[in-house]
Amino acid sequence: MADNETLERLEQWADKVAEESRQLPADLTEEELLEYEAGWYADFYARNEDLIKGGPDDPAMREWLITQEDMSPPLADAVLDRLRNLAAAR
Amino acid sequence: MHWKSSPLAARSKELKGTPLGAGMEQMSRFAARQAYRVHDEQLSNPPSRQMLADHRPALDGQQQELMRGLDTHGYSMVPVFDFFSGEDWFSWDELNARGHKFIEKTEAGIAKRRAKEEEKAKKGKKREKGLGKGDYIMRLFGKEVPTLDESDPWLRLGVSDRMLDIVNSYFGMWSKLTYVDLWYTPPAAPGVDRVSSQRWHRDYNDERLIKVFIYLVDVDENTGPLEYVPGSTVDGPYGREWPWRPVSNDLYPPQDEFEQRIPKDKQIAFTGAEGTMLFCNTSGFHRGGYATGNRPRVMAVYNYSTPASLEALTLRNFAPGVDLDGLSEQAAFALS
Repeated sequence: MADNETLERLEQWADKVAEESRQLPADLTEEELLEYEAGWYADFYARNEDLIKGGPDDPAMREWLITQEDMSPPLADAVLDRLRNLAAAR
Repeated sequence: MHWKSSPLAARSKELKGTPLGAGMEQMSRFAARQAYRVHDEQLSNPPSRQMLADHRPALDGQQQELMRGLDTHGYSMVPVFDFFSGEDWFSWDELNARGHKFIEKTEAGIAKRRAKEEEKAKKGKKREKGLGKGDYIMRLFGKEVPTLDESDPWLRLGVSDRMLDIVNSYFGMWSKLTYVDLWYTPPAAPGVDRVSSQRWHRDYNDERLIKVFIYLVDVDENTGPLEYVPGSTVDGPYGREWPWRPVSNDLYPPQDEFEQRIPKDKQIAFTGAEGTMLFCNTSGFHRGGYATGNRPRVMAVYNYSTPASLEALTLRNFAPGVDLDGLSEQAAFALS
């Protein structure tokens, strides 16, 4: 059941983000916060590659993150950078 | 995973007001959006679409006209007693009497509060400003989650086949009834600005959702009528202005810019006599409840959404205490 698997992965991801957020120091700078958030979003897409539209270099994916997922352009760029790094590391 | 009960929602609450709080709230919305899409595209809405296809209702002329209004403009209106005139169970007198009891109770509550404030003022204690920002709508149920059973006439109306035939046909699938309540909107205090849903916004919990309003008093321009932009639902000419998406982070577009991009003559106000019933797809732009006169706006309010929304984004405001076996299949589905 691919549908339920998607929800299951979503739940696992949400649990992981909630847990990791508890380990963060309280005095992070804005840049550091953005890096953490980008890492979490990239982790979600790495678990759900079918949701990456055309890959991290496809302008459609950047557009999607900004217009449909309400990310700021710097956050969208940081997420895509993370995804590129993950792809390169494979 | 439901938006309101996800671990990210809980974290977002814990972190409110901290630097990470805003990002966590966004992430919670992101997760809710993903869950909604799975239910919309795969799990919940496709089988519901099939249910309608297997049980497509034959709409009469009046229902077809209401459907046309919804499809073309995003709204339709009809006197409630005309709409249900052929139904044995329907009694406008009963509904109206209950509505007026609610009005009496609410106004007694307001009077009591005012008297208390006067008393405080006499004693030299700090006087409050009267009704607060959160009081612009007073509800019969409020934050309670009451159990509604067959004896509740508002619920009976909400899951009547005549009503569901329209909502389901408009959705293209069997729908869920998610909200039943009565609203009392008191006149705004002079000089008080619009707050919350008194400002232009879309409802972001479903792409096709219907709110039904039944007026329990006459609603004119000064009674805070619902205002709406016809053609602002997803396929309409104004669908691309601050477009709808599930649980958007931007709830209210800048109101000055809104007035520039969507001219006044494209906005309408739903005034109407007592007994007016309005069907409206509120994923289109709307605002309401800013009563500038001296009379309150009072109405019954119903929300219908797709199963995907109930699974991922919307919480039902009542608990159905109805024996589902005694209902039509679509009514049982609407309450399940």
